[in-house]
Amino acid sequence: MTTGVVPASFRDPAGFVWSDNGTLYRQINEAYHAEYDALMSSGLYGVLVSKRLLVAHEEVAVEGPRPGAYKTIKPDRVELVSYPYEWCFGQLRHAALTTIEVQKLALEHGMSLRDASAYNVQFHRGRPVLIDTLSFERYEEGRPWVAYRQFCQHFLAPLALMAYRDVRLGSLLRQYIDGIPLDLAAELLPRRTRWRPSLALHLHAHARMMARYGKREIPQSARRRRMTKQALTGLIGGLERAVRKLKWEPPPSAWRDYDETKDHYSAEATDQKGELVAAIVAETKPRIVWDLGANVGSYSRIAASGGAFVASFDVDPGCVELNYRQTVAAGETSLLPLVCDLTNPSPALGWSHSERMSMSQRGPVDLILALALIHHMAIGNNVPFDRLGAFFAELGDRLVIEFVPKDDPMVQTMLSTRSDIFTDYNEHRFERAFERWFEIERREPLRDSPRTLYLMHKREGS
Amino acid sequence: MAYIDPGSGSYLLQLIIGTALGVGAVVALGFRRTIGRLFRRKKKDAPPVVEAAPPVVEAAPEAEASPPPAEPPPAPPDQEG
Repeated sequence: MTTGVVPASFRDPAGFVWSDNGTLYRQINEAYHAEYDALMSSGLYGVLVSKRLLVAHEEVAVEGPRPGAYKTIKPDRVELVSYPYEWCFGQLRHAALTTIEVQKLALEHGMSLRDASAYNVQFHRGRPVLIDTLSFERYEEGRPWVAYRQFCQHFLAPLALMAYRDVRLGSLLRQYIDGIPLDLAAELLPRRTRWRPSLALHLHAHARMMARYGKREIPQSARRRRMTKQALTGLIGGLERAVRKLKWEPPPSAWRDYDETKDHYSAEATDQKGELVAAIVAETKPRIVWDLGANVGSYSRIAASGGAFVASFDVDPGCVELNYRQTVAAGETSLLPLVCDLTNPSPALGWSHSERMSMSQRGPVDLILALALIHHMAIGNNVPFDRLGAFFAELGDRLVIEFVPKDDPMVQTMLSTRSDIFTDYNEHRFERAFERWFEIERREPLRDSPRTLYLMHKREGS
Repeated sequence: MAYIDPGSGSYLLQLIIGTALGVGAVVALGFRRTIGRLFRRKKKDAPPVVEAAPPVVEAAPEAEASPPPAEPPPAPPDQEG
């Protein structure tokens, strides 16, 4: 359990987040006294929490670790911290619309968002919510929206790039931690987007204005000009329409249709695998499960129905999109689909490598599911078994892993276009390598299949 | 309390958008008044027999009465700054 100020919480003088033996607190500094009181007394906090747009908190009599505190609050904790570069298109779009909705309600209550960072949104019980209680300030009549640039960089630019150019460009957010620079977005977007009024204005014209005035002070004549509340409301409405118009449909892909088209599994083997996962979850009662290579989340749902919170990772943005849509349609509250390339998982990022956590820093979790995955890592990416064992041991205390032997049709297909350099790829070597990190609890050969399902738990001290 | 940089360009663009929305609102209001006057005049001039006359809609439709459009016409794509 970590204790101390959360490393990502240092930009805002209004307060910061700290952890005490795993419990998260937020210190509100005296500098934010009036704004916090306005948030609570205006009715905005109550409305946002009741609409599940803002994370709820309670005020607690706990002293913060730094001087200058006005109050300490204990916010509800999200199940798993995730980042915009791990979200599919639909999740980022949903997070953008949540931010807009929050800003609209804030203006109705005489307040305004003073930042619009995508990192201030997290998925909690299946829905995006604002987690930064200190993101509000009292609205000052006549003042433009201070977070307009940030909203465009964090939400509109990546969404437009994903919708109009390539959905994989969402990963640019991993490089640009304060959102995609608008000049870069404008350059990468197809020319036809210049004729889409909302994108022409909020991205292309915005990029040019930033290029022209980026290094200059705002002229005195402009400082005296005011933006009426009606105009500001119009701007927010325009941003909302711009986001709503952006759509992306997952193209057919091998992984997206994997569940329907798989011919290397009998229905019996599939059913058996599902039953085994359900039985293991019921037996081991994990609180948190990470399903690696989850595809559209079939086994994640089996684990979630057993009472666990499941993060459902896949490399294919189309699969994650379909998984997320199903989550939303079914109102699932304990499943979070995320985009993740396990051959290059999210690293620690930001200032001093500590603003955004790596994938493994967010673990270890109670149970890892690695179903039909090992051949993609060991053969598809040439990762030796012992390194795979070490990686899984870093991520979780228990492991359900499916061993896919060389004579499996999927492995045969993978080897059909390359030389077989994998002389050690067999079940015996696999067990020997993994036993360094794990103790094997169960071995279950799948019926009508050469594959075997293993349940392992981590060795003491490994 | 602004702790992030709003950006001079972003700030100025919002002022331009705000002005455009204001102009749009004035134009829309003028348009609605003109249309309203025309309809009222027609109503006065209309013969007292209303049996065959279609129903007269005096007010502008709900959508037109709502706040002005959020987005002004797009900037010409090749316009500098």
